[in-house]
Amino acid sequence: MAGVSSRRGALSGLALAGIVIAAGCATAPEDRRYPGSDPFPAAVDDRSALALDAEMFVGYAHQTRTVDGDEQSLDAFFIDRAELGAGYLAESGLGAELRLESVRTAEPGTYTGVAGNSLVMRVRRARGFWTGEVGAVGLDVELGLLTDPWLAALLPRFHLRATGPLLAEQSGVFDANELGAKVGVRLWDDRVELVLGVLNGEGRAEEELNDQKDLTVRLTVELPVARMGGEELYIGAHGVYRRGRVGPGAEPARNDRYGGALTLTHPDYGLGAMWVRAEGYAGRGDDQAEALEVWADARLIAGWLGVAVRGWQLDQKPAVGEVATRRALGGGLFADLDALLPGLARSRLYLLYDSTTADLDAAAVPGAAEQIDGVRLVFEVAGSRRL
Amino acid sequence: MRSLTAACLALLSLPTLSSTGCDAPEDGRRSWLQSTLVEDNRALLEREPALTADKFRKMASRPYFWFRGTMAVYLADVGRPGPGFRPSRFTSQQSSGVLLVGDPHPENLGTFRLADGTMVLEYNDFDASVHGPFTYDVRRLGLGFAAALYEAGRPETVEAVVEAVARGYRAEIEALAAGEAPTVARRGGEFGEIAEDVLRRGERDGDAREALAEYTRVVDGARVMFAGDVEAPLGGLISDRVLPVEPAEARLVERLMGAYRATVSTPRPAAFFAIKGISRRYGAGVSSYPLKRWYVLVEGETAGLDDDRLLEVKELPDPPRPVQRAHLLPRMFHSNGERVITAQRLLQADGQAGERDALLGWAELGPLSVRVRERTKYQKGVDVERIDDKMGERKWDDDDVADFAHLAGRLLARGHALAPTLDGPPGLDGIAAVIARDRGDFVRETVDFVLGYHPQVEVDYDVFCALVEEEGPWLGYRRAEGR
Repeated sequence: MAGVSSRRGALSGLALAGIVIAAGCATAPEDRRYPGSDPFPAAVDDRSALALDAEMFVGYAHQTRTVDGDEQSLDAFFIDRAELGAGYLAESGLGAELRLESVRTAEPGTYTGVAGNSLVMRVRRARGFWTGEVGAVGLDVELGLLTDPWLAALLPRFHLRATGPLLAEQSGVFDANELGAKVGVRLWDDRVELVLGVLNGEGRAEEELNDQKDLTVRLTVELPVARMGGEELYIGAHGVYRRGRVGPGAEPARNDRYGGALTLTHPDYGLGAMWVRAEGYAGRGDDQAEALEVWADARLIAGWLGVAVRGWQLDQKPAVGEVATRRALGGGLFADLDALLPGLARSRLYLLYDSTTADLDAAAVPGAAEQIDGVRLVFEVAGSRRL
Repeated sequence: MRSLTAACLALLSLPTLSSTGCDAPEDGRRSWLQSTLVEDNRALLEREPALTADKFRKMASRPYFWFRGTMAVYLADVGRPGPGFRPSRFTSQQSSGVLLVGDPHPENLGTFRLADGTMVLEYNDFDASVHGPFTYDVRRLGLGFAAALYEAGRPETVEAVVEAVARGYRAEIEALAAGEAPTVARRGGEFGEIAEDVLRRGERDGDAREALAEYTRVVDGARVMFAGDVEAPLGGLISDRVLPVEPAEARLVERLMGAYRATVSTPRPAAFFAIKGISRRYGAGVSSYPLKRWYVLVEGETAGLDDDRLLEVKELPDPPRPVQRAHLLPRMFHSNGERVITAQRLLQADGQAGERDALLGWAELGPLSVRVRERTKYQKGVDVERIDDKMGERKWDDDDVADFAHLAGRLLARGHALAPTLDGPPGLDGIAAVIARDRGDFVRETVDFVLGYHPQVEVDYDVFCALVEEEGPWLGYRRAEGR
């Protein structure tokens, strides 16, 4: 279910945990948006304050990888996320945000990174923005290293990020962050949001290789449909289209996307289904890919125990050859630790089981079907403070 | 064939390349190929733009050079669905973590002189060595023979020669599994005319100390580095040129040499490595054409001129990745130098004869990692143009090529079988087990892959020629200073 690439890790992120806890504030109400996902410009009511926030997922995993009947097991501590952000929003609506994230310096399949395979910090978001209203219309403008418009819609409504990235992100169908600009229009008390993004098209890890820009249009309609436990339950429908090009030269590869998602969001419950189609995938303009993912979470005992399930399927369709398919299914229990760690936006412990299978064509070593089963203990903590 | 090569290079040296006759299809493959090549060469495009442009021109000059310069394309094709993607039926967990040569092809075989004076034939380029499925190497080797034979206009020979590669590979695995001694390709005619020819010429030229004669001169009783063209440029491309280095570059090489000494398997006194001269070598290789390569003249055993040694210090880049592994690979190597030299020692080891190059070692300085080897004509590489010429003269025939392909397969199998895998034990058991599933089908599958994929290599060559023509010397990549 989660990307298995980052299982190996260290506990060096615990230093950041200290920052998180130190930055924790007593007035961080949990809303339906995921902590730290995109704190500005929406849903901010505390202006002229410097906002600090931090987020961390660490844990331990036992995995078994089975290839052609042979089993290999791996036990490892890991750190999937360690992020630290700072943002400022003035009364004028102008603001800025800088957010850092930890990354391993060696990629899967390589021997060495920087000084072995060190964790280093890199920029995840760096943006200036303006948010305001013109009459009854809300406007958001962003410039810099931004969250992808599609993921910016889903991540605040996806409570289970600590269990792994959305398939749309981990499969490379979308890159989480990108240089460019976004303009958003919010209507009817933010129930309708239309976002236009003009982005480089190379993702956060690359410089721009061609003059063409990716153009993304995303529409979100989200309505309150009920009150449960004193909180609104929202149902949302989201659609995206991207006209994209990637690679150097006069004829870069097609990199288009379209898709949709339905979400149900409530502080105690979450449900989502997403389907995205890629026309042009992994740099190959003729290839296609389809990503389908569903997730659900619910607090069974308020403030203590909850359940989470996720499943996805990724089909890669080359211009020549067979479809390669990977599937994952998993779930588990989580315990909110608010009573033990008061004042944080979220503190949660997950116990998860997941199973990922790859057919002959999708396996890491083509020709031998692969299955990875894992049990993970994940500690998630996020907090913020206004200064 | 050399004249044809010269003509091709001459055409490529013109300001426009409209006469290359490339007829490239317009599809997604073109942009992917362009991206893959740019990404593979990106650091060099920034650092050595002129030499990298020349590398692309060299790759466009001959289909075989195109093949040699596109290891990254090959790995991307065999590793994920698309052209060239034919998953092997001979795959298992055990046989997927084999230490690979990385880029085995006919011109990556060459001679070495052992300490006892014996000449042996071995793989000699491990720059791309990583762990992966053994079939990647076998197929790459077969593809290399096919590329050479198609270029030479002998398509009718391809199937038999690729079959010989796979048969040779299988034969060595089965022999080792049966407890027989590993193959060591010495002189004596047992391994065919082509092997015998290169072994004989290596011994002859090495005895004549030809490398020292070519790259150094004796002036006023002292040996000094030669500067200039050892071979005349061909079609506007440097063939073999050595030039003096600036003082700062000389200091860099001196520091590398200081670090290198500790990595030589048999320690020698510091005086042995006393540096007498340094030059920068240009024009060598295809894939490695723009990489830094220095020749370093050292004192040798005595202060006399006759035992001076010439060492090659060659920059090593990151290898292309063969497998999209979910897991990180074990922390085996701290640098590319350690990776390549460790692989060379393990893959050349046969449990009988000694080390192939006693002066082999590595060094690193910041991000720069180098391999150091002795530059001697005892180490002579196989030249596919020579094979073609000899066949044209009817001195060698298809059977000789098949014999050589069989030997190449055997030597590849020996390395895979004896070197430790990712999991620790030698690769032999895992490889033998999967080949035993269907002996005949292993050969057939290898042949089918090569015959099925090589047409794509040819199409890609045409696409590449068109890219050079239409997108410019850097394939449309905009260097940082231009952004």
